[in-house]
Order: sequence, then structure tokens, then C-alpha cells
Amino acid sequence: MHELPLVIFTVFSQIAVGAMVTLWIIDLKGGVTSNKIGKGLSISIFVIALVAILSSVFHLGQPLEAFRALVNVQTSWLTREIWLFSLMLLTMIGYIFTWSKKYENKRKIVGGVSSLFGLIAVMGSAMIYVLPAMPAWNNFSPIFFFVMTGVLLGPLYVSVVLYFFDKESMNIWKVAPLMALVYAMSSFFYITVLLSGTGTLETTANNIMSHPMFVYRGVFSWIIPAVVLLPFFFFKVKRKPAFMLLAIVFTIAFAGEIIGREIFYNTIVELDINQVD
Amino acid sequence: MGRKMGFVVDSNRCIGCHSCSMACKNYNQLNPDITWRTVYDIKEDTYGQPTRITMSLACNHCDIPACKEACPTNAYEKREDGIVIHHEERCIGCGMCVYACPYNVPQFDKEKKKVGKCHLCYERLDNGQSPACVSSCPTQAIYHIDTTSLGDEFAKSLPGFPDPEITKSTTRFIKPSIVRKL
Amino acid sequence: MKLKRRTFLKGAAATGALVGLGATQTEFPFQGLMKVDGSDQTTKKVFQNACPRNCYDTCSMLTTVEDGVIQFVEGNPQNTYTNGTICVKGNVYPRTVYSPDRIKYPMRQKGRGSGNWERISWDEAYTEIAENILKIKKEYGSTLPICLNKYSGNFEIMHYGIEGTMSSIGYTTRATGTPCWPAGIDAQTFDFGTILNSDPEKMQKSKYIILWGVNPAWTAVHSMNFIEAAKANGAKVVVIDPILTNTAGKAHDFIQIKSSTDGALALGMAKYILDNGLFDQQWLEKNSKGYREFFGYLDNNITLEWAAEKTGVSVDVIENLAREYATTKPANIWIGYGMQRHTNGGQNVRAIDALAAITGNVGLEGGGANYAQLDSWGFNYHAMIHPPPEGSEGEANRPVNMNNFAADVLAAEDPPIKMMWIAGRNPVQQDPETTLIKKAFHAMDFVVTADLFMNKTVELSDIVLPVTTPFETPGVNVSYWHYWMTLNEQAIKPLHESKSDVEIAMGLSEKMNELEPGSCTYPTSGDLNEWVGKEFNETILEQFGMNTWEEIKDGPVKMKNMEVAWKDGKFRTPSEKYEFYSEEAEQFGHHPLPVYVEEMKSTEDHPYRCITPHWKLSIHSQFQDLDWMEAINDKPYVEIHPELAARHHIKADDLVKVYNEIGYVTVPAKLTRTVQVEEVVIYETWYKNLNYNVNYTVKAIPADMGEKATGMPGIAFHDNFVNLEKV
Ligand SMILES: Nc1nc2c(c(=O)[nH]1)N[C@H]1C(S)=C(S)[C@@H](COP(=O)(O)OP(=O)(O)OC[C@H]3O[C@@H](n4cnc5c(=O)[nH]c(N)nc54)[C@H](O)[C@@H]3O)O[C@H]1N2
Ligand SMILES: Nc1nc2c(c(=O)[nH]1)N[C@H]1C(S)=C(S)[C@@H](COP(=O)(O)OP(=O)(O)OC[C@H]3O[C@@H](n4cnc5c(=O)[nH]c(N)nc54)[C@H](O)[C@@H]3O)O[C@H]1N2
Ligand code: SF4
Ligand code: SF4
Ligand code: SF4
Ligand code: SF4
Ligand code: SF4
Ligand SMILES: [Mo]
Repeated sequence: MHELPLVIFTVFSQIAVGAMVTLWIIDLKGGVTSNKIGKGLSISIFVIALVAILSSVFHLGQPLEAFRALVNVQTSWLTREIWLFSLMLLTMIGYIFTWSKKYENKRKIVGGVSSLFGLIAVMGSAMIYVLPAMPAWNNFSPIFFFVMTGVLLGPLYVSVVLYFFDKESMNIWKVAPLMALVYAMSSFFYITVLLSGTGTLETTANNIMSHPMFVYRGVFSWIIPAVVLLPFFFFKVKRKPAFMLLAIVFTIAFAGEIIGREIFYNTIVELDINQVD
Repeated sequence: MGRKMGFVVDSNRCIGCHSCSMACKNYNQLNPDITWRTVYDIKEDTYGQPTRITMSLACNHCDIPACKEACPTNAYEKREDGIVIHHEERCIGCGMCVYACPYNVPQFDKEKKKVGKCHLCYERLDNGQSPACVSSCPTQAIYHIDTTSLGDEFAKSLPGFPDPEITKSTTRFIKPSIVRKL
Repeated sequence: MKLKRRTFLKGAAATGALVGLGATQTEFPFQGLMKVDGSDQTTKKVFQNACPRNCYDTCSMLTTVEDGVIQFVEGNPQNTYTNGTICVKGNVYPRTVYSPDRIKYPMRQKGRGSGNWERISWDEAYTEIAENILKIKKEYGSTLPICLNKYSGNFEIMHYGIEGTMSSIGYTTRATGTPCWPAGIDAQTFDFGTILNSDPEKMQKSKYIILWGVNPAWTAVHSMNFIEAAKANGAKVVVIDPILTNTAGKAHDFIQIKSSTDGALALGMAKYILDNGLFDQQWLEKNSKGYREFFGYLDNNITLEWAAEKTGVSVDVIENLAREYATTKPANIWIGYGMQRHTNGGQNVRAIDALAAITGNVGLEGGGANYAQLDSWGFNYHAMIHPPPEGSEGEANRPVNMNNFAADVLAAEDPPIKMMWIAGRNPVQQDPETTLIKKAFHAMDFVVTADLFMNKTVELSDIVLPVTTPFETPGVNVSYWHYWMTLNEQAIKPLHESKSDVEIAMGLSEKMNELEPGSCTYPTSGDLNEWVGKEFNETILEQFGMNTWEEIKDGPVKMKNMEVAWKDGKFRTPSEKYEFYSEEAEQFGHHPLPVYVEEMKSTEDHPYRCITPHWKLSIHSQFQDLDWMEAINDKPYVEIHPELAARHHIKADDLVKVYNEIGYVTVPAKLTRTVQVEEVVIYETWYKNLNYNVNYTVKAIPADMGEKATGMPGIAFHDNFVNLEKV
């Protein structure tokens, strides 16, 4: 199954949510010094989320009838996901408004609400894949990995933008190398567990490892952020990483996540007649 | 308890001839690469002695249909008689049901850009006829029945069939007897 | 939904193309089930049809037509053999008819095999064909350089009009014989006087059924129903085959015999029956000729140990099988066509016949040695029989061996063969020695093929004429296995510019007489529905219990009194007895008794036997090419035992080259323990997108028998020895 629209949708929406939460937190701690930057950042996050949602429509056989997908809140995670992202977008409009109007207190509340919707939305979109029909997904992994994309790329994104405007004071880029390590270790753990399983689990793991882009995925998302950025912790380098360096790490990790998501969709093996042992 | 219309798959009588599968296509005029009923070879050494045996599967009209749960547009309906119907006109082709069904049943039709699946020929049943696949089986190896009326002699699964408990599949099986190789 | 699926074929029919698949949906959002709208108010009519393929089952079908478009084809329950069902191929018929791949109009190819086809009108086609025929006649003084090859694409009775086409232009060369079943026919002709089987529906009365070298789960699906019924009545079913087929999967016991050694098994069984006094002395005395000589042969020449060694079946198993068979009455043997495609195939059938005879199972309800029948085929062949034009040179048609077609065509002299007419036949796919067949085609001046699809034979033709499907032209059908007769009604108008073979004959006749009056005797017009009536005569009406032929319009009818073959004990041999000892056999160069004839053996270079039986999703080169069928299977495979595969380092799905001195096929491996270690299996069929043809490796080795009844010996298709190589 080729799922490019879904790849773009999930990765972009997760960056948006990661960035939103980051922005909200550093704003709480007073890390955003200029309203202009705050507004610009939140608008850019809004745009990323919008791109994500628009892209998702192209995954449908009938894009023009996307609105029909709103009706099954009772059981469909897809319906829920759409509502949750819609709520995030709606509240983000308010959030942008509070930035431009400098309503500081309301901003923190609306930002919190929006972040919360975003977080639940990401988990909701992961829940779509938690299916008995897909043994390799039928566990905590989709939720964990979807959140990881946000945690890796969101702070990096915010950091890069703040740097660009020379306003990064909280070193939130430091989250990225740590998360890359956690991400790498948990992925290793996940694949090992799959490999020790039988049938579809094992096949999925083999598919993942034999995927031609698997190496790039690992190097881009896990190794490069860690290797490039960790020295700035350990060797007590006083200087912060240069803007260009952060921008490059972000771009590479972003590419890694796109590849990773493509692998996610392309290697899954569903329960199939005669495949069960 | 309500009725639960479903299929009995008698692998003891099934000869693996694919009539049922093609009858479904013939009757429903499906697009070339779509099949709503599939005849599977059971792995030849499943019962020890290698042999050629088969089972014919379509939608299992599950009690807890995963397809229906996943569908954002409510395109699926579970009728009172248990038949799970897919309403094509409500379908937006999101593919969630394709992911969700453990038995590989709903299929995405690239021409229609929608999904489709076996509807147990409900319009034929409502007319007092048998489903097209059932009436085309030369050995009466599949039939439709209110599965609540069936006893324990009918298995809920055969080797190779995914766990029927996931969605409470209503399909019932009769095991193949195995030829003795002399 | 109910309506929408109906739109598909109409679109295809109207445009002849695949555009417009799947109707567009413009209904109101969120609405529930769709209401019935105007498009449901169509004219709906059900027609009777018959499946005319070379298939045991010759099904009676019902075709639902709406607004002139076929919507559904199903079995006709009036025929108790078809029993309201049709097989996978029958169910694909709507797609046969509306396939985008159908040949739509006459075409001319510039350069044989070039693929450079141009559309021509029927008039142009007739003109070019007629001119060629007349030119040949002028140059050679006769039409003998014109060769017809027709066989089993369509067995409907009016399709013998294809032979009629040739008869009506003069004496021609004819591909004679049949690649299919001749060795068995001769064997039964020597034994019984002809082929005659009991009504297969009576199999359900059997208590013991041996399916001997036959695979009805694939090749005669409806018979499986009666076998299942017999099982339900307590019958035991035994399958004897080199392959554990899907049929064997339904049996109680399976005996995996070394190919081509069935005679040894049957004789071993006979020996046991003789030694243990399990034969029917009374029946033998009354009904047979030469049983003493046969028993003498068993006594002197046959031991169970020998039989066991030959066949790979242990003495115990042979003894047990013989005892069960001889003591469980009635016991039925179904002798398949697969098992007689060997250099000793006819002789093996005779040995099996003998088993049925010595146990008194011949003439018994639920018993018999059942092979085939032609008794229900007594039509007038009105579409076929036409006199040659006045003043035609020569005395008779010239036969060439259909089973050695390429070599015979190339060798023909005085006059040589210059033109071929191919209809209902696909020699490039179905004949042995494909490479030589292609050579023969290339040696022609002119090749005309009438067919439905652009197959490998059409590819080597100069002109192709599009023919109709059974749904587009009337006719009448009978089977060579059961005793039903079915009317085939015209259900829809012919698609595109297709014509039936008889209409083609009429059109050609008109053109020939236009160019040279009196050069063709075929009628130039006629109502084909009336022509169906002209096929009937008093005898056949009486046999089927009809007063007028029109009664067939009410539904299929069954020939009377065919429940039990040879019940009357009147055999059609010269002695009017069952002949263990056949002088006729002797006249045709065989031993008069059903003695064992050595099977062909593998060689050092080609150590494995390659069996190429019939495929479940096709009738030979028909059906598997359709996209509906490709959705079930779209690639062939070679079945190899894991042990043999390991010997050649072959893993599942590896490409394997299967080759011998005349050619090769390359196919993925399917590893299976259902075949024997020293034998590989490849099914014969045609895939439109693959260059796949098993017959590149099959030699035109004659079977032992066939000459008496069919004019030529059969082909030992399964005496094909090959080697393997991982690609
Ligand atoms: N689906 C389908 N049905 C068909 C056809 C088709 O192409 N496809 N063709 C039709 C025609 S024209 C015919 S002739 C019939 C043929 O009908 P069948 O005779 O049933 O079919 P085959 O596949 O030719 O051979 C049957 C079996 O003979 C076995 N066999 C080969 N050699 C030997 C041997 O030496 N001894 C024994 N005991 N068995 C042997 C093969 O392994 C095979 O399983 O089917 C008709 N029906
Ligand atoms: N290796 C191997 N080869 C075999 C066999 C085997 O067991 N192994 N089996 C052999 C046997 S048993 C047989 S019977 C032969 C069968 O060989 P063929 O008689 O050649 O068999 P088909 O492929 O059924 O039909 C031939 C063609 O007739 C065309 N046709 C269908 N209907 C019509 C019509 O109405 N008019 C015209 N003009 N054409 C029509 C079809 O499209 C097809 O191209 O093959 C033999 N070949
Ligand atoms: S039609 Fe009947 S016998 Fe044939 S494959 Fe289907 S279920 Fe089995
Ligand atoms: S088999 Fe699959 S499609 Fe059918 S009802 Fe069950 S879950 Fe739904
Ligand atoms: S593809 Fe259609 S039926 Fe399936 S979940 Fe999506 S909307 Fe529902
Ligand atoms: S019941 Fe109807 S729709 Fe379902 S598989 Fe059978 S023929 Fe197809
Ligand atoms: S191919 Fe044979 S079984 Fe199938 S429909 Fe035709 S006659 Fe019947
Ligand atoms: Mo045949």
C-alpha cells in the first residue's frame, strides 16, 4: 500500500503538535521574548497542521466527500482524530489571536487547551493503527512512535525558528539528542521483540530491517541528532550550536521521520489466511 | 438472541474449484481485480500427511465487526439478521476498514475508489434465493444459515484462519477428512 | 448498490472499451440506502445456453439479459447433472463476452508474427481469402494445398460447419485424429466395441469408486457431487494418480502410482482376483470372449511382486485394493483421459477394462469401466455435410496427423500445403513441439484463423476473423460424458463485428461464387435458428423422448435408457461379446490380449518425467487469459518435490528452467510433497501476458492406440522427460 498522503499527514501533524506543546511550555516559562515571534511561530505551526490535514484528504478515494468522516465518533478513531485535530486548529486560531492581542493569561490557558487537544489527537491518530488485524501495531508502539516524532522534531523546529530570529534563550534543542537516544533504544527494543515473535510479527520485523531505506532512517533520525548535538552537552562547549547546524539537523531528522513513516506503512503485515501459525 | 446469518464452510466437501468465487464476481459484476470470495489452499501438511484441501472464505459477518468500528462514515450496517452490509454510497475510500478487518475482507477498488465486500447477497436472501456463491457450488460445500442454530460439531476456525474471537466471526467450519496415502 | 453494479457491463458493451467503469455517484450526502430509480426498470429476460467447451460437463446454463446486456450466467437446475451450478470457467462467461481483449473486427497482419495488424472490412477479408483459395486451385488443380485444423474450441453441433466450409470448396487436407482421448477410445472399442459409459449421475449408486487417472475436482466438477453423494451413502473412494490431486484430497485412499504403469497395477489386481477366485465366472461365460486366454496370461506372466515393483505400490496395497474392489458391489471405475496419454496408454486402459469385466461390474448399475460416450451425438450434421463443387479434382480429403501436425504439414507433397484454415483450435499453444509448429506456420503462403482472442496461433496468421461466443449465436449441445442435450439460444446480439463460424462460411461462399460462380457449395444464407432444427432426425428425437425438436426449447432433455452401459449385454465387438481376446486389436498391431506393454523410461540426460495435465482455471488455452481469472491466479508454476528441489538447490518461488532436447519453459517453483520425487508437474494453459507454453518441451510421441476409431494414434503427452536448472 502506498500511503504518501498519510505519511505527510502524520509526520506534519506530529511536528505541529510537538512544536505547539514546546511553544506553550517555553511561553509558560517566559522563554518567548517577542510577541511578534510568538505570533509568527504559532501561525507557522497552524500552517503545518493545516498542510497535514489537507494532505490527509488526498489519501481518501473520495476527497470531496471527506466531511462524511465526521459521523462515527462512537467507535471510529479516524472520526475522533479528525475532530481532535479540528479542535486543535480551532483553539489555535484563538491562540494566534491571543498572541497578537497580547492577552498573556488567556494565551497560556488557550495554548494549554490547544496543546492538550493536539496531544490527544496524535494519540488518537495512533489508535487507528492499534488493531488486532495488525499484530505488529497492536500494542503501545504506534502511540509511542507517533509521540516520539513530535518530541524529536517539535522542539527542534521551535528552536530553529527562535534561533533564526536570534531569540533562543532556553536551549530547547537539547531535548532532541536525548530523545533521539531514547527513540533509537526503544526502536531497537521494539524490533527485537517483534523478531522473537512468530508469523506476522517476525515477518514485519524482517520487512523493516530489509527495507532499502531502513539504514537512512536510523542514521537520520537517531544517530545524526545524537552525534551532532550531544558534544554540546559533554564537552562543555560554551558556544551554542550554530543556527545552520541546528537547521541541518532538523532537516535531516525530518527526512528520517518521513522515511520512517513510509517504512511503517510499507512493512506492516496483516493477519492473513494461512499466515497464522 | 437475534439471528446471526453467516456461512458454513464445509472443507470436507470443498473441492477447491473456485466456482463460488467467480460466481460472486459474475453476479456482482465486480471489477477485474476485486474478489469478494476467495478459495484458499489449506497448507498441505497441516494435518500431517500432505494433501490438497481447500476452504472458501468471504466476509464473516462478524458479531463485533472491526470494519464497522473503524469506519468513520458509518458505511457499514449490521442488520438485525446479522448480515454486515457495506453501503457503497457512504464510503469515502479511506481504507480504515481494510486495515481493521483481520480476515482481509474489504477490498479497495481502484476504479471506484471505494471499498467493497461480500454482503451475503442480502437482496437475494430477501427474495428467497440463495447467495450467488452458494447456489453455484457444485458440491454444496458452502451455505448460509442462522449460525445460532448450529451446534458444537461446527468449528469456529480451521488452521490458517485468523483468530475468530477478534471480531466474533460467525463463519462455521466443517473440518476436512484427510486422505490416506497408501 | 444494487443498481450500480449493473452499470459496468453496459458501459463496456456500449463503448467496447473499459472506460466508464464503476458508475459515478451523485446522490445526496448522508442518505441511506439508495432508492430504486428509473434504471431498474429494464427489460429482463432469461435465455437457455450451453457451455460448448471440450469438457465432460457440457453445462446447461441460464443467462439473464437486461437491456440486451448479459448480467448473470448460472447453471440450469433442470439439468440434473449440471444441477444449477457452473464451474469457475462458466462463471467467467460475462467477462469472456465483454472482454476488452476480444478480437473485434477482421484484421490483416502485415508480416506474419509482426503484430502489425490493420483493421479490414468483412468484404475485404472474404475477398482476400476467396482469391487465395481460387489462386491455389488454379495453380495446383485442386484445393488439397488447403489444410483445415479444427478441434475442440467449440463442440456445439453447428460448429461442425467449420468442416463444412472446407468440404464446400472441394477436397482439402484435414488435420485428422484427436490429441485428447484416442488411445482409450481404441482400447474400449477393442473391448466393448465402442465407448459407452453409464449415466454419471448413477455414480451415487456405487459402493466402491476408483478414480483412475482422472481429476474431476478440476476437470469435471459436477461429477464430484455424485461422488460426494456416493460417499454419503457409504461408498469408498480410491484415487490412483501420480499426483495427489484435489480429487485425491477428497478420497478415502490415494495410491500414488508411477506414471504409465497402470496396466501393471490392473494386471496385478486381476492376478489376485483370479488366484482368490473372486471373479464372476457366470458373467464371463455368458458375455465374454477369450477370458481363458487372459487368465492364462495372468497365470504365466504376472506376479504381484512384479506389479509392485513396476508401479511403486506395495504388494499389500495391491492385494487389499483388489480384494475390496472385487468384493464390494457395485464398483465403479472412472478411467480418465490423463492416464492414457502414454505410449502404453491404450493397453493400460484395456487392462483396467478387464478388471471391471472379470468382476462382473460391466452392465451393473453403479458399476462399469466408464470412459466416455458418443451415443448421444446422432445429429444430422447438416451444417457440416456439403458436397464438393462440381468438377472438383480428387476423390477424397487428404488426412494429415493432427498429433504430428507440424511435421506432417511440412512433409506433405503432391501437392504441398500452402494455406491453413484454423478455427476452434490453438495449435501453437496446444500441440506438442511448438517450435516446429511455428515453423510450419511460417512455411505457409496464407493462414486464416477464426478466433475470439489474440492468442499465439492468431499471432502467426495473416487474417483473423472474429467469432461469436455461445451467447451470440444459436446451437445445440450434447456431452461426451452425461446424456443431456441443451439448446443454446442466442441471448444477445453479436458484439463488435463478430460472426459465427457458419455465418463466416456463408459469407465466404457468397464471395467465392461472386468471383467464380459454382466454386463453393455452402449455402449463402439461412436462418440459424432454423438450422438448429435441421440437425434433428427421427432417431435422435426418439432417443431423447421428444416428438418435435422444438420441445428442447422447454429445457434440457436427457437421453433415455442410458443409466447403465452394456446392461443388455449386447457388445458392439465383432463377436458381440466383451473381448478379452481381440482380433481387431491384433489387426492394428497390438497384442490381442490386454498384456502389459513396457512404459517409457527416463534417460540420463533427462532424468525426470514432466507431466503436463489440465489446469483448473482454464479449458486449455481458454479462460485463464481473462482478467477476471487472472485475479485468482496470474502465473504458472512447476510442482517439484522438496527432495528433488534440494537436489537442484531450488527454493520455493525460484525460477526454474525445465528443459530437454527440443525446448524449455521457465517457471517459478512450487514445492509440494503431493507430487513424486522423480516427476515434476506443469499445468498446460495460456496466459495472455506471459510467454509461457509447456508444449515447447513436449514431443509428438504417439500413444499406442487411436488409429482405429479416430484415424490417428493419440499423443503420449506425459511421456515427456526433462532436466531442471535453477535460473
Ligand atoms: N478445468 C479443466 N477442465 C477440463 C479441461 C481443462 O483443460 N481444464 N480439459 C477437458 C478435456 S479436453 C479433457 S481431455 C479432460 C481431461 O480430464 P482428466 O483426464 O481428468 O484430466 P487430465 O488433467 O488430463 O489428467 C488427469 C490425471 O491423470 C493423471 N495421470 C497422468 N498420467 C497418468 C498415469 O500414467 N496414470 C495415472 N493413474 N494417472 C495419470 C494426471 O496426474 C492427472 O491428475 O478434461 C476436460 N475438462
Ligand atoms: N501439454 C499438453 N498439451 C495438451 C494436453 C495436455 O494434457 N498436455 N491436452 C490436449 C487435449 S486433451 C486437448 S483436447 C487439446 C485441446 O486443444 P484445442 O482444441 O486447441 O483447445 P482450446 O484451447 O480449448 O480451443 C482452441 C481455440 O478455439 C477457440 N474457439 C472457441 N470457440 C470458438 C468458436 O466458436 N469458433 C472458433 N473459430 N474458435 C473458437 C478458442 O478461443 C481457442 O483459441 O489440447 C491438448 N494439449
Ligand atoms: S464452489 Fe464449493 S467446492 Fe468449489 S471452491 Fe467454492 S466452496 Fe469449494
Ligand atoms: S469479516 Fe471483516 S469485513 Fe466482514 S464483518 Fe468481519 S470484520 Fe467486517
Ligand atoms: S473505506 Fe469506506 S467503508 Fe471502509 S472505513 Fe473508509 S469509509 Fe468506511
Ligand atoms: S454471498 Fe454474495 S456477495 Fe457474498 S461472497 Fe457470496 S456471492 Fe459474493
Ligand atoms: S467448462 Fe465444463 S464445467 Fe465449466 S461451465 Fe463449461 S461445461 Fe460446465
Ligand atoms: Mo481433451
